[in-house]
Amino acid sequence: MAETIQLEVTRYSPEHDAAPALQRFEVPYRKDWVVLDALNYIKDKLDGSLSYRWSCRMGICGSCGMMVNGEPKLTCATFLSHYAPGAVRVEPLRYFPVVRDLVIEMTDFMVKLQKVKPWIIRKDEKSIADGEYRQTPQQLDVYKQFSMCINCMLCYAACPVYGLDPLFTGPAAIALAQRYNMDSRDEGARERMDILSQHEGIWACTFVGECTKACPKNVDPAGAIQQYKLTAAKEWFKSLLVPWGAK
Amino acid sequence: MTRHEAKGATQYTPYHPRWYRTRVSTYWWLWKWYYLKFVLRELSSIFVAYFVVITLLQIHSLGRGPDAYVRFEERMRNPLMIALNAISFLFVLFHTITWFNLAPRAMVAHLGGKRVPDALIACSNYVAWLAISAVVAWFILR
Amino acid sequence: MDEDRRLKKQLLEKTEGREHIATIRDEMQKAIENGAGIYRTGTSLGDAAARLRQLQQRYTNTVLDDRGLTFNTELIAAMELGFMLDVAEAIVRCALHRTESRGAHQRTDFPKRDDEKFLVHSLVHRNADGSSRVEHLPVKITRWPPGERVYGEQTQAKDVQAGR
Repeated sequence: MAETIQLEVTRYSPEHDAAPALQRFEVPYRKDWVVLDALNYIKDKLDGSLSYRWSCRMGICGSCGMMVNGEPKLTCATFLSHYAPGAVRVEPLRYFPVVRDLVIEMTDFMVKLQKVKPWIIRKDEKSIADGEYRQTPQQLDVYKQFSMCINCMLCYAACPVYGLDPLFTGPAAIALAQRYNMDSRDEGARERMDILSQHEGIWACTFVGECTKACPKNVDPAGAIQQYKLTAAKEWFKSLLVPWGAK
Repeated sequence: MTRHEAKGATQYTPYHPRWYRTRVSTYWWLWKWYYLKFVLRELSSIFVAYFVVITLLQIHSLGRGPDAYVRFEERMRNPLMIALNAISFLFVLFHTITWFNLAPRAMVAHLGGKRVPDALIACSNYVAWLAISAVVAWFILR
Repeated sequence: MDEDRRLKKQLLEKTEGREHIATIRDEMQKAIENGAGIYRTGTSLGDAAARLRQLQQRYTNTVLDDRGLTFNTELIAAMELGFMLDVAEAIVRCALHRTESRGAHQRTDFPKRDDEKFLVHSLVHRNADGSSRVEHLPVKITRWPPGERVYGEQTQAKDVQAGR
């Protein structure tokens, strides 16, 4: 069994470099190591100037998303043994501007998340004294899958539409909107429809399906978008046939 | 401290970000087999449209009488047309199969609180397709 | 602005120094894990305290690999290491001071709980000369009075004793 494995890591310092470039490192090969362990080894023992994001190291925070051999992955959940003995190429998350080494700029994603109004919207709020909004387990099951998103942005790195058209709202944001649309406590579906059924909303999606493949939490954003396309189309037909429909 | 600047790259200003935006190649769809399958699936819509046009022309020539229909058939016997129709047929098949397999992701049905399994929705599409094809075939081959 | 200048001088622009942040952090982790685990003795704590003093000295001799101004995670790690060494010192100092066992602080050389002297919060202060002193803050019992932590059959005996 090999003792070491090669890692090719993108380096980019805006102060010194014009463009990112790959740098090779030799890292000990342990069967139970993930790519994040290798990156931490590089930073601790080989080159402390490597910058990257990570936090929980167990696949729940969504910080450590990077491209590993061209696929968007959580580096804390991707084993070196999957790629051994060949070299492992670690690059910053695709389709986002690179700030430094493996760190990307994610403001665009944050803005899009907020754009879809990801909170419970009600016509009349209940006061605290009136108690909670109650929900049965069956009602929870309807939207639970879409609530599992950890905002890791792997789906944006997998989506060619987002790569070609940065205005696209994106899989995670639309799945989040669906999570609220299908929540029995929410009454804001109409408000969100105006935001989502624009050209850069759901209609920019061409159902490539890569987002669902990349998702580490099985949120199925592609499914969410297609379901919403059906809903939006139905609403459009209804508005044609019944123009005085209740708002 | 030396600075390496490419032509046209912006200069770095201390304490200000200088992001690097990677260009997406025009040939992005050749990177992965899955992307190529996707682009072919989308292109198959052109062949579907072609099939529709040919079918409409066929019906139109039927309406114009047996001579018109014979002329239409002769035009179709051309080997180039046969090849084109064969390729179109394959693409239409590809289109149909991918469409039916993806349909359950968009049409989520709930029966009695539980979600209808994906395979069932896909299968019912195939069955409906076969049933309608059988009816049409019976009419044509009568 | 002064803090900004201090950080730059002390960390970013320093070029002499032979220690790395990661090495000191690893050794601190080992020192505390060995000396100040759940089961600890005066000796092990004393060793940990000496080790930490050494590490704090070595910390002033560190140099960073990363001098960049953009997303410099090594700089953050260096600052956090300084604070972590202080916290480690506080832990060890209070553990040495507390000559009893209570909860996750089990002194094998003082196995009993001592409510007369140590039913208090310990506060650590930094003296002007760099050493530290421990002071006490009284505890206000609201809901759970201190009691023996027992499991299994012993709980029944304890309940009987308490009249439950």
